[in-house]
Amino acid sequence: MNKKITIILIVVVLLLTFLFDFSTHFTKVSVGKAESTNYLLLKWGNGENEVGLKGPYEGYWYFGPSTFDVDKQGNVYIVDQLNRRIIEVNQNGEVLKSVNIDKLLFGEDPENLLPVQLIVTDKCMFLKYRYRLSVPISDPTAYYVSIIKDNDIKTLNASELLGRPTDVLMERLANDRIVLVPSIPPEDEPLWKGPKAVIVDDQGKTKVINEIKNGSYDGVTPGINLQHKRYKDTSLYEDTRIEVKDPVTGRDIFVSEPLENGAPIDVFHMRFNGKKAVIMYHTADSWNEEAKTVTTHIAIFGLNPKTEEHYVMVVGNQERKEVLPPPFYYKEDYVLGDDDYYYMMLYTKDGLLISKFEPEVNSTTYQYRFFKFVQNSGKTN
Amino acid sequence: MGGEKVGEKYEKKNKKFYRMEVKNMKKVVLEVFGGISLVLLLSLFSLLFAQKANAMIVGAPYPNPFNPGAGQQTTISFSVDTSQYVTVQIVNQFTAQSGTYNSYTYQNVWNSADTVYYYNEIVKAQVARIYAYANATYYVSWDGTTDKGTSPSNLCQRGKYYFKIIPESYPQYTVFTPVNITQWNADWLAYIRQARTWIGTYPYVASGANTVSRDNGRGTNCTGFVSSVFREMGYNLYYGNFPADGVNVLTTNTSWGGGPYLQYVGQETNYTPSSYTLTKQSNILVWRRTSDGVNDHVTIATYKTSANGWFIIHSSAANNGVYEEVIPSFYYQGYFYPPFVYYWIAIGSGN
Repeated sequence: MNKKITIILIVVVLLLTFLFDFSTHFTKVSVGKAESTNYLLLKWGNGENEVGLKGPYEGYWYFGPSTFDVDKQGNVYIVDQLNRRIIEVNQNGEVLKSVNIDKLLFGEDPENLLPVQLIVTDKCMFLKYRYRLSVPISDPTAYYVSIIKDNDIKTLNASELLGRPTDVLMERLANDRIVLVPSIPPEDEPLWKGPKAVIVDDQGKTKVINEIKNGSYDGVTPGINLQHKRYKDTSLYEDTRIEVKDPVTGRDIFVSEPLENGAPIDVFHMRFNGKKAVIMYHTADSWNEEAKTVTTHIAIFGLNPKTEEHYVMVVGNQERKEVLPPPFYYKEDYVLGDDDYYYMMLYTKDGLLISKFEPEVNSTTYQYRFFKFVQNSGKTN
Repeated sequence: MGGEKVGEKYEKKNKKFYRMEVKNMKKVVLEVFGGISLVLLLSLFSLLFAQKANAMIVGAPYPNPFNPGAGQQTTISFSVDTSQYVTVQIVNQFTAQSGTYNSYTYQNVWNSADTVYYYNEIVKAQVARIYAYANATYYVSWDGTTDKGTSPSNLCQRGKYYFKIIPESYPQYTVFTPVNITQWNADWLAYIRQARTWIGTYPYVASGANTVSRDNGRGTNCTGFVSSVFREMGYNLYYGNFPADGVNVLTTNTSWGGGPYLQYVGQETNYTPSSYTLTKQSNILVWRRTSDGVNDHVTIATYKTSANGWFIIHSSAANNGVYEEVIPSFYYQGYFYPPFVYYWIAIGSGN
């Protein structure tokens, strides 16, 4: 009897160990091409279903919407500052809501407002912005964050809150909150005396964070870490992996395989919403001198269930002809929406185009440690 | 002097004396009177000149050059003839000698000539303001800081500066005296810090306008900003040819004021990661338009983050001035042609 119990116990332990190991090391990898689907196209103009655009300036660039976000239902929120509003639009292009932002505009010229990033939650919207330097306000170089609930707008001086870093990063946290993180030049980090972060809730209440535990700002939302080695004396990374820790225990809950098999990459964009991580990078052969094309890699990692999606975007002369260049301050043209999909915004000649990255999968690989199963979709690209 | 003086040597109690005997008294009196008149006249002239030239007696700055990055200060001493308030300022090397505009002409990005005018450029508006009593000596120290800075140290970069000592009751007798700051940080960081001292300067000046100034209300364009940063670092760098193929975008002019200059040593024209690898002496990015291949914009890259990529400092129309911000991903993706990345090395001993 004792022998039976011992055997059963051993089997149970082995089974639990296997299940734990499987959950840790099982990965579904989807490989596709980044021919992102056209999710939404809004024409240029000042009509109800249109968004404002001005230009070209200096014979070249255009001024228009500079940021957007997508909510859990897949509705798109666009900061249409030339029409002095933020609009909520569904996939059919129907405007569901329009919020006036006159209170944020300084003077009559809507181009004085430079919106940088929008985060939409169930309770409010957080808009990070600044003003043109010539606008006569007391702190013209600062970033501001406004908490917008219909016509109720509260504003914080984010630069001041964080001790005046070079830039202010804004990320989504759980429970309708955001975190503001200072961006500090590496040489100034040892001297930095400001807070590590400031959490802002939908009421505009702030909480200063002086210590980040297990990569998490609030102890609830996990944080992301880019593990890498520096490639020679450069800003390139090699052996680059995405790592996410459990906010409470500090245990790794996600570690990706090395991107590009560990080869040097140039990372220039990374976002994480607690559930999905997105990273954009170039490789050594991203620029094709002969074809004048640039190949950008996009890797999207899901934590639960564990998934990987890898895309490549190739921009050449044909693609360049289709787009209108935005100003340099235009920042958040790629957004990881609250619905966990990745979206892209482009000024096209036809209007403002929002594209959605959905796995147009050519092949799916199910992998558990050394065991690999590849399933082809039959599509060719 | 005239007059015959005849001396006779004699001895008295073993001591030697001379006795003077004047033979032509009238001539002597006349000559003495003439001499005194001449001295008085010269004194009068010197007094008149002294009022202009020596309203303040300025002791040379010490040490000179000095290194504020190593915690050094330089000290100057001065005095005034008339009791009054005195303000001590620091101005830069381009505008110290006169209140009139200095100018130079360069070829801008649109291949037309731009004339740039510099005018009074105050680096530090008030090092000290003292009520100075006449003929007393006062000492004022400067730690190398500037009013324009936004970096933690706010230190001026390598270059020639001037103490400007302004007697407030008689500002026409303002005196300049030079002081040099040695290069306290030889790497690119020094340039970046200098560039950051421009942040907030507005407006963006469109092509064809002719000011390059830190003063709000005048501002600069992208080319004027980058070249000014180098000039403030004591290097002769200005915009020369700006052809569409991007060659020789920035040139040096060794005859322009002498001193150290930057030597162009290479560029990268591709968008591979290596374009963005260096953080030393290679961070000038020149942007080409995709529609016609024209060089459109120039920026100084500062640092990089994983979340957002490279930061740049530039003077742009959208910001309407000089600001440090990230490069939009739009540009990383090649919708803009890959930027040229320029490598420079500083050579020459300089002043």
